[in-house]
Amino acid sequence: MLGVDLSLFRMAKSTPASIPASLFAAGEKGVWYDPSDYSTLFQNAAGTTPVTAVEQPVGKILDKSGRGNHATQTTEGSRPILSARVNLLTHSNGFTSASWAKGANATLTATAAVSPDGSNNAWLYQSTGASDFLYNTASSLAAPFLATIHLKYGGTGRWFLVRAYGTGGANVWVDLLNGSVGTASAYSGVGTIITPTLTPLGDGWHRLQLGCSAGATHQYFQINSVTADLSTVQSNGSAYIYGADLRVTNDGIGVPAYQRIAAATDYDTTGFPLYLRFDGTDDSLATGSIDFTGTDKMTVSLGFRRLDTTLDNFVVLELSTTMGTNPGAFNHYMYGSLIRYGLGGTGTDVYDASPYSPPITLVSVCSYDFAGATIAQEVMPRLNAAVPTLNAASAGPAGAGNFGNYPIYIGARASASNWFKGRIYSLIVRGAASSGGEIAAIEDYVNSKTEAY
Amino acid sequence: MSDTFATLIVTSADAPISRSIAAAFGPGGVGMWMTSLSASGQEPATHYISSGYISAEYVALSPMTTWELTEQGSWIQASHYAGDAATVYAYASEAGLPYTLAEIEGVFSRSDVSQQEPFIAMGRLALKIINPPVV
Repeated sequence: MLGVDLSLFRMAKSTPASIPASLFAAGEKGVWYDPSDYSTLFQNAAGTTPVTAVEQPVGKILDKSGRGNHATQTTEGSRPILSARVNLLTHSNGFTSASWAKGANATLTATAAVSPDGSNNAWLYQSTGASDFLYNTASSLAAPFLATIHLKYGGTGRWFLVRAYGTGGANVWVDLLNGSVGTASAYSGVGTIITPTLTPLGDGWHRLQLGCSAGATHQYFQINSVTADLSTVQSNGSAYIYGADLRVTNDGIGVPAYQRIAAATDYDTTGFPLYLRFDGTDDSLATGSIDFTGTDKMTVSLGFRRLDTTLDNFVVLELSTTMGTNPGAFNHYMYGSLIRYGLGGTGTDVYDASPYSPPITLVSVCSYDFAGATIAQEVMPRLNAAVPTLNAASAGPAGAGNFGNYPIYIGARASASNWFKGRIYSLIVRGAASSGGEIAAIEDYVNSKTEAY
Repeated sequence: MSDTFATLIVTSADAPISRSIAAAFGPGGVGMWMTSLSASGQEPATHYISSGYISAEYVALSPMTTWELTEQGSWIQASHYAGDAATVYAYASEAGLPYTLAEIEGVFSRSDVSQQEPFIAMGRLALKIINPPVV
């Protein structure tokens, strides 16, 4: 598999419906978890209370491979949460809610116009003098961040200043009458600006996006009317406003630009991939022991997003309680900016893929083979459909032999330590090697659940 | 009654009592407070944390504090509920646990329970998770 041009296989890949099910058609041992499939999710470990909506805990996730290797968590507070949240604002269109504040000379009128989604939920924002600001008060986010808001000329005062700022940030003015956007500047001169865009949506609406790729921390998302010479932040300006969004810039490739958030448990999920959210303190799932003793080969596929900020020793996935001491085991874990792939036999391989500092979303497909003579032939990872830069932290080899009969731990080491902070969108462990074509199809499938690239 | 989100931090000395009482409430309470914390992120642990969705009836008996962030970036206590130690003592006694009401009240008084996200709560208390090396 190493060195094979998998792009050829993408042209003749298996039909989507056959992967991943076909990976287990010959009786291969393993697991296949799909958080986007509500029929496989339960709030309790007994599997008697279904998950029916986002922001509910997952105490049991059914194995779709047909092998019955369901993963569970019996401790109530240690269950990952099903989520599809991308927009980090508390209220995306509740401009009079507690998370938004306005100046004394700003007025807001609800249901003032038809909004871009066809509903009658746009607000009319009007400035009547100085102190006319409107800003979000609960949106702390370090760069890279992207702020979005929908604007339409309200009939007076065409110029508006929009800021996504805190410690540094981005400022930009917009002319809502002719639909133009100025050159963004860094707030207080701090922050690397993302070029703002003003996209026409029809019916006079525009979507404005601005943000910073580095060097700033977002705390306030603010609009003001401004005079034509951009010198005075107050005017008689008015604008229809709708739908604000604040997200990490790389959170989902190709997902909708705006996610409606009405409440922590009431938000739009259409077009946003579902995932299990692990809180980094005590969340994990585990299977019973799975007998992989009949194989020396494994294909491990994972769609995940790492959100850990302290950058050290977080286990995403492990076969057995401790890879380094249990022969016939593997693990994936985070170490600094590295994604580490471990294989333990009579010796130990640890292969580092770098750099992948958080926050980042990845599709990982790793082929393990105890029959290989070197680490490069025993541990063969791919990240986002490419071979990453690899360095052998422990060159092994792991030695000949088969995999063991152990549980799979998801999100922590032995459900007891080294807690993963992040998301899991898809997980497939196949107790067999996979062909180049199968790997390409697996990558496509996992990415369809993850939207990493 | 549905589950309620809570972040519960107890001292190391109070962790054994807290674990026993939680386990006595049912299988869902087994395994709480296994994640160790300290100011340095190194052993020895000074506190333990559990965070997530927990049965609302259990959370209702626990202490609970709400916090607000000032413009200066410091946390101030907005409200505090001391918890229903008497009811917890009654349940614990019924389960055969040897703890006194005074001991449970002490655990409650020294614990930090809120609905903050866990890393926010840990930041407020200047605590870090102790993460052993992964081999």
